[in-house]
Amino acid sequence: MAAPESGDGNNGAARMVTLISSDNTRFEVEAAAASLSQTLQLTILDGGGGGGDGIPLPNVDSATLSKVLEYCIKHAPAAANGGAPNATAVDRAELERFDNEFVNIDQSVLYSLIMAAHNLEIEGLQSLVAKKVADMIKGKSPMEIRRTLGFPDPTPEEQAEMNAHMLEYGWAYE
Amino acid sequence: MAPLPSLMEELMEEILLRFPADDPGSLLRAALVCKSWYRLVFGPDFNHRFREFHQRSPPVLGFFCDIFRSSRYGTEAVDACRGRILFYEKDKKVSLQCMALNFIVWNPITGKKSMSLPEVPMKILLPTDTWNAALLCDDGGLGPFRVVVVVATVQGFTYACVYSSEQHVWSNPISTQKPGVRLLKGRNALIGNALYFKCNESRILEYDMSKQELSLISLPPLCWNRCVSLMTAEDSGLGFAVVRESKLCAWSREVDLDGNGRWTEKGTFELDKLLPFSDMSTLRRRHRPAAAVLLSYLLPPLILKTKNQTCFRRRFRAFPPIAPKSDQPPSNSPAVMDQLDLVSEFLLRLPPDEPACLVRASLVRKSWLGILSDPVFIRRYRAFHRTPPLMGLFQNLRFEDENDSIPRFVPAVVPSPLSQPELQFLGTNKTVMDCRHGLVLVRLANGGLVVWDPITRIQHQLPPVPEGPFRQDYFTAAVICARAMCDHFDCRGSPFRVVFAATESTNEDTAIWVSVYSSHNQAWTTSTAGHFGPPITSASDVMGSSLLAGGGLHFNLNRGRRIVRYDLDGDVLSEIDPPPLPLDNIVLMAMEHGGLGAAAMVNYSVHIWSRGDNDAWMIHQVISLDPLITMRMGNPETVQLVIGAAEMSGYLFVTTHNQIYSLDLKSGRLNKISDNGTYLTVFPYECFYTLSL
Repeated sequence: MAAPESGDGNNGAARMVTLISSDNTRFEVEAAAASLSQTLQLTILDGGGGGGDGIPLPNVDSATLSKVLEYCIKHAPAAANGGAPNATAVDRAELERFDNEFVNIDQSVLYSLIMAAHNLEIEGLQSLVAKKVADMIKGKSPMEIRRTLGFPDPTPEEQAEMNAHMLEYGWAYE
Repeated sequence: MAPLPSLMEELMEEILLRFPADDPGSLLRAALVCKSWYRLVFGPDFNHRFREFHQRSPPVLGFFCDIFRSSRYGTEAVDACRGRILFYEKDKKVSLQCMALNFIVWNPITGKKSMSLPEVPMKILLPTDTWNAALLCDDGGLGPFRVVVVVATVQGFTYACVYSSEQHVWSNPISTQKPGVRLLKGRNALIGNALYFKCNESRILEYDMSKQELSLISLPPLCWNRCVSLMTAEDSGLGFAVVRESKLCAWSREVDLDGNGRWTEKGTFELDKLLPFSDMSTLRRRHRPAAAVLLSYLLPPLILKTKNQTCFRRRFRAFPPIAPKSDQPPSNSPAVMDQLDLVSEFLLRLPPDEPACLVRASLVRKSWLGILSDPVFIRRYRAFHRTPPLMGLFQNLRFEDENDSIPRFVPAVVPSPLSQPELQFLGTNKTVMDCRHGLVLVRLANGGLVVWDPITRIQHQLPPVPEGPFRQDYFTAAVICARAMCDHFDCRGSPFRVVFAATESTNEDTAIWVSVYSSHNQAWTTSTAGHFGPPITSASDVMGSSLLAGGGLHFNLNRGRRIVRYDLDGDVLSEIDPPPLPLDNIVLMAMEHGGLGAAAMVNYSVHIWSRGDNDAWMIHQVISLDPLITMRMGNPETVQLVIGAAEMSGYLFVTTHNQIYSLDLKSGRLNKISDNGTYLTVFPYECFYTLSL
């Protein structure tokens, strides 16, 4: 079996793998891109996903998977260079711009992406979506955060606790 | 129904007198029933009789409560008595040099507002002095009144004086020397002819108005460091209430014939039966003090109600509803938010330079509070962000006409967990000498050193600096975390060292010695000394503030003509020649690679020099400020100086036109921190703020 040495993506540069979403849509992508997922990497290193087999991903629907793969394809070259120490500033700026655009999405899509990135263990994407949620949280009052994230309004008991807490940390609500 | 016979009129008055005092509307409604009742209620005597009848327990119609730090100006309710309220008028002119105590007395029922009281005839009060006041009325809030003001100055004197509305003057203040007393805010208690006010260190200040004496009473040790609420005990003596665990305890003080007081606990109330918390025992520890604060406002009605065996009603509403309803219809809570490992990833990325967002997020859900106060998360949070954010700057303001200096804090984050009032304990005539690794080193007026953590508010008083081999003509000091292999992004609670360096200058030479205090051994060791070059030539700023770089502390000596290095590991003093920068404005800084750097302003540009491995200085960077700050070049008022450097977060601080700017060396961005700055040295305070400490 022609398994590539670990950490060296060149061997699989031309190699394609097939991923199958929960609604049975097949996605053919370069192994290097799919290998950004720690979960898939092992399977791919073992030679899985090639030919007609495909790797089934029962937790990811096709809309989310296409979005995930969009990220992976964009980031694969930089990742192949080992994090991009020799990437030019232009390349880095381009990736940053892509990332900013990429998470500028509907909240429900964002949540699906979070789950997918978590299940597939795509480190960069996990970090990107987590940062997006952090950005949604910061600068808001507790009530605004609850509403933004779709949590139910607090019960009177919770409200009383919140008031007590707000008294204690009065400075944070100035 | 038969009309009431006129004989019943007297009886009727007795009935009306018994109308509930805490439902004033009922009496008014009754007055409208018929003319004879109207005449009774609005008759000349009824008001007086009604008050007399209910004299023992006038109803609580509500209470005043100052929303925490709601505003720096405006009025603040201080006391209430018999329907009148005493307000303190906050000073409109912010002045660091003096504070004026202005009061207003207001009767909300009649709407009558007394003229502002004349100013309290105290000597100049400093903003760091503490005070409290009481309002005394003898009858139903209509007759004359008195206002008692007590003041504790940082110089250690306690004053009291009384204003009488009849004479319209303040009495001459009486005073006693009571060092270390600070008066706390909160209601006083009037027992007999004595007034009681809460003080720091769990003490009570007693002002005996007949003997004209001021004395201090200690609280029982069980209640130290707890929020207490003074009150009249059941036996009409001095009492207080305190929250311990989930219980509200009432204490009272009995005084024997010799005048010795003794505290006894008189009773407890289970708070979970009184307060709307679902389960007090599960209430997190940090909420308990908040509950106590709540109670300090709630206690007067609480005590009244419990006496009558009626149920306690919650009237407290300090905050308006938190946020207006958004137009967006709330969607359902996503499943993602139930996975705590994912949520902790989100919370991990909240920016450290916005500390309020951690506090606010902790209120969103109980599980979020759990994550944010989990020590493991907190360690991860600090390690993830690595560089502690710049919380603000300390500066020592000096007054030209006296030798006093007052430390001030300029926050760099908004809102800031630290603010000027937190520095009250610093008082006047104290100097911030250094800030590092979350700690602040303060020099007291008597020369003693205190290491202070402004976030936990823990103070550590150092023993006096021992005599060195030479004199201390000039000195400087530094505080450093002393934990082995520490990255210094998470040093809270670590042992620390204080390095005290002093210079003796004679006509022949300059001698320097260093003494080191270790919090581990709680002792000073005089370690090293040496002779360094020619005598000092400048008269001020002989030893500059310290900078930690490359395992050594560096001080500017003789206004930047020389740099002294104290090697922390080797305990070696050495001298470094400064880079070719203009004297008097060299600020030492830590370079990104960990080495020593120096910055100064040259022709409206910041010049940064770096010291290489070969011990040679090289110019590292020149940042021109003229595109960044609007200024008139050549105008003598446009004095620009570098006044400090943050060791960890990579900022330089620049002053121009009395404004302080931070210059981010990574981005080259300039941010205004203060409109009201001076050229004085700044001590940057860099520290993570997290929920648990």
